[in-house]
Amino acid sequence: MTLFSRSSVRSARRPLVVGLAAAVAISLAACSPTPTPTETAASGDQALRIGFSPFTLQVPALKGLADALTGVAASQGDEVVVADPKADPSLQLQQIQQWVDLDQVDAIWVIPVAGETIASALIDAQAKGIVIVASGVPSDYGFDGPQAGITFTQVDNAEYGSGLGGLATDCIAERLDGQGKIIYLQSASGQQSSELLNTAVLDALAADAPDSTVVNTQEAADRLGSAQLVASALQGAPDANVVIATDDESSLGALDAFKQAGIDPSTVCIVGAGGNDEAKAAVTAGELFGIVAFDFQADLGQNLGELHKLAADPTADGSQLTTPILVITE
Amino acid sequence: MMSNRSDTESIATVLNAERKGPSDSGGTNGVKTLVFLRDRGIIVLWVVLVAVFAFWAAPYFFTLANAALVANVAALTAIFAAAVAFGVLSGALDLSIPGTATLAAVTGGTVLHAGAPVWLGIAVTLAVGVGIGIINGVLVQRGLNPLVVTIATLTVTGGVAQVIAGGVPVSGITQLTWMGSTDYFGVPAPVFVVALVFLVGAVFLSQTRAGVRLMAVGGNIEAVRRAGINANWYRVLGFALSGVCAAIGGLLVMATTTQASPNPSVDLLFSALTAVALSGMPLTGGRGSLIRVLIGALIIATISSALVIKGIPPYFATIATGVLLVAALAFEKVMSSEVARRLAPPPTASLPIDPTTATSTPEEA
Amino acid sequence: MEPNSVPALRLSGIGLNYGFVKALSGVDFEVHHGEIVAVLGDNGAGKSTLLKVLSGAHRASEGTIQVEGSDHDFKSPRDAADAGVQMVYQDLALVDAADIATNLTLGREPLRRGPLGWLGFLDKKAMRRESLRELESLGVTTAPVSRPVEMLSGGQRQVVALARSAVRVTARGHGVLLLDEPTAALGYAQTRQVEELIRRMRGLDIAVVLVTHNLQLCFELADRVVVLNRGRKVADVLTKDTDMDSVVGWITGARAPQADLVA
Repeated sequence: MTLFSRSSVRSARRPLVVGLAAAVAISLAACSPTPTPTETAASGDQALRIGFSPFTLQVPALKGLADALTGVAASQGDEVVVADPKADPSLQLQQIQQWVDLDQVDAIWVIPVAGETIASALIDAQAKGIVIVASGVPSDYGFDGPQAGITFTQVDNAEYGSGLGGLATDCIAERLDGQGKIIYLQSASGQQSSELLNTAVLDALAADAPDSTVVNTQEAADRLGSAQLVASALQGAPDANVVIATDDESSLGALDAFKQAGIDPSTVCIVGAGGNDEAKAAVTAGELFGIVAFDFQADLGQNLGELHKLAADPTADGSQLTTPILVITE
Repeated sequence: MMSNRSDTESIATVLNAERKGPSDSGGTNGVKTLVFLRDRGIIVLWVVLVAVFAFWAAPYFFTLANAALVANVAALTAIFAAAVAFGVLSGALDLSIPGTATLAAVTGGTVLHAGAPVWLGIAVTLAVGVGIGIINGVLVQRGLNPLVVTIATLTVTGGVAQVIAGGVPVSGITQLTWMGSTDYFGVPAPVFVVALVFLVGAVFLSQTRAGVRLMAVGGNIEAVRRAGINANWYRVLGFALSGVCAAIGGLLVMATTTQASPNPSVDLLFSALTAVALSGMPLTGGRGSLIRVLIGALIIATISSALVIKGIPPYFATIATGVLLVAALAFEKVMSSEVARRLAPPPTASLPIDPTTATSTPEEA
Repeated sequence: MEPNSVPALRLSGIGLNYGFVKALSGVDFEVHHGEIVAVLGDNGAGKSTLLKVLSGAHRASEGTIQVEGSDHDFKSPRDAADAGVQMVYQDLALVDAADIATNLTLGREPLRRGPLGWLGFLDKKAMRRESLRELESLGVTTAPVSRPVEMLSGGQRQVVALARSAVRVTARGHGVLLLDEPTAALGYAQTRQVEELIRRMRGLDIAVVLVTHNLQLCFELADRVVVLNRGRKVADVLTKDTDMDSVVGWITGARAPQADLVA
């Protein structure tokens, strides 16, 4: 039954996660379309026809992102066309190629199914002065450095991990006098992004909460699995008072386990990452100390602003952006 | 032996040979021990594991509180294992179980979320489970490969659940906590539900006509057809029961977590398959015991509890389970073939001896 | 055997075509109660086709089937079984994991009385009691009927399979038992056991049709021999009136068909 091993299931979803943590974008769909562009188009800037090519539209989160982009862009005079590559790299290539060949767009925002597949269309776009924001880093597309008219944007897992670790150390200092006994639900290993995140969390702990110890390390699971893991971990370490969870489901599962064990969550430190509505509500209720989240709303504004900036001079090299990170506490 | 005719005597003798044979006097006890080990070995294994862990993970493992936790974890594994077992017993490996559980829970959860009464939410959940089971069964009965059909159902139900839930968990389902995170007399609520399911299931399989026929269909569908029974009906029944158990599992997960996630948990299927395999139930169908499946689920929960308590990284839990699985299969195989060897000679054994004397010594073959 | 009695099973002018291939043509065949008829023939001579027609697995293109003197049309094995014609297949069709009693009563399981019966609860005691009684009436006393079939030897399994069909046949009075190579997988001693059981069935007034390659078995058991060659009946003769050489001649075609059977 290795066909169904956890890693293969997770890796099937991985391309999405490279571009954006899908679940998080939902919050966008929920808040939007109330346009709050962080950088409004500079005055005198021309309106852009933007082609948005996400990995697929079948995932509600990405559909939400597309709707949000359309709403925000319309409010500042831009026009958005959305393509649905249906997770098929060659279909995505065809759709982008058509935009380029028929001059249907001035700017493209792409979350690729497979970067190298669409690189040729991006090069054609580059030659025509069509500007691009592309998820990932240049090497994902076979480029060996910064490109004229193309800005790359990626999530910074190390920074995300530092943020999560920082939340934990803040709480440990505030509530536990620096004496944390930590149950760590790390991100499922086997991916470089997970390793970066996991290491950054531990580094932050070592630096800012040196008197705390990690009493149990497990892998973050779904809601039920995490609750079961933390409940068992509490059997072995009844004095554990910190849970660092690397996604929403595992932080909420840990919260369930603590409540089940009769521990008031506001006297301990449960921190999470992700930022879906339920987790945010738990923060507001004082049950989770805090969560870190990729700020996709800010990211949307950042990318939109970047397209305008690139369009002002398509021959200049684009930059490397990172998705802003939001720290949510009570 | 009702007749005095000599040919009657000899047939009676051959059929009774393994009881009367000269080499049998010591063999019967040996066979009894082997059969005991084969059928009850898994219980022995579990007791040994508990005893070992009680010392190794002292003082945290062997406590009432931890027993309740282990029982709760085992209950959720066991209900999905029961879903697998009903499919396997009727002759098909049903891989759609996580999808069925997810879709059933998401549908039931949506109904509850909309303010429907609790009984309706439960009824909808179970009905979805039965419905998907029947669809699987009818497709398979039309001659499509069960593995392929149920994999297809797994992906379809997962997708439909995503659409119904809008990609996010249906949350705030607090109406079911009485069968989820509550406990009664210190025993978690899901344990009662699962105990009831296993009790009814075990009685159904061993004591009722439909249950016995279901197992017979899994064992030899041709034999059932030739007995003039509508065997296809029982194949569909197997899938429907599998669907119901999956839906009950979905219901319990929803009750425990107060939400219905639209992501099918393939991990749960994996644990369930492991529990079934540990129970010695062959995936070829037609034989096995639900009670042993329950013990299989307990073993998995026990191991994972002890390893987590000791803070052993999760990889070792999967390694330990895998090793145990292979060991259990090997044990079952050795025991079965040993029992078969002692009870009956190979079917093609040829005995060039005068039949009237040969009949009492088939074991020498 | 009374030659003038109504045959338990009678086929007249049976023909069956597979496409353009004539698998059977103009075959007349009958078997009486208390008689064992062996059907012989080379591979492809039409033995198994005839068996399939008898058991209802195939429908004849032409000809009529009579059971106990009245016309029947076998559209399925179920029809044949309903008319009292039971087939014992070469693969035995036993449920290995189930016990002897379950195998014997499959399809006609006794239920408990009262509410439990309405819920489909089995009366296991009655199952075992009836199985035991039926086996005894055939003169077969088994090992415990609660023993799984998979724990029986090849000969014992064959006996159970035969007994199951015989019970179904005798349960309705007289009937017809079709045996397809009943001793193919058995050793010498076990073959003798099965032969004895078949003889006993004849003693119980069952009509037995025995399809086999095994001439030895045929001459040990059968009262009458029917030989098929290329879909036609070439011989129909009492065993005591013929010998092995003649039968082999008919099977191979080296010997001319019996005079009254020349088409």
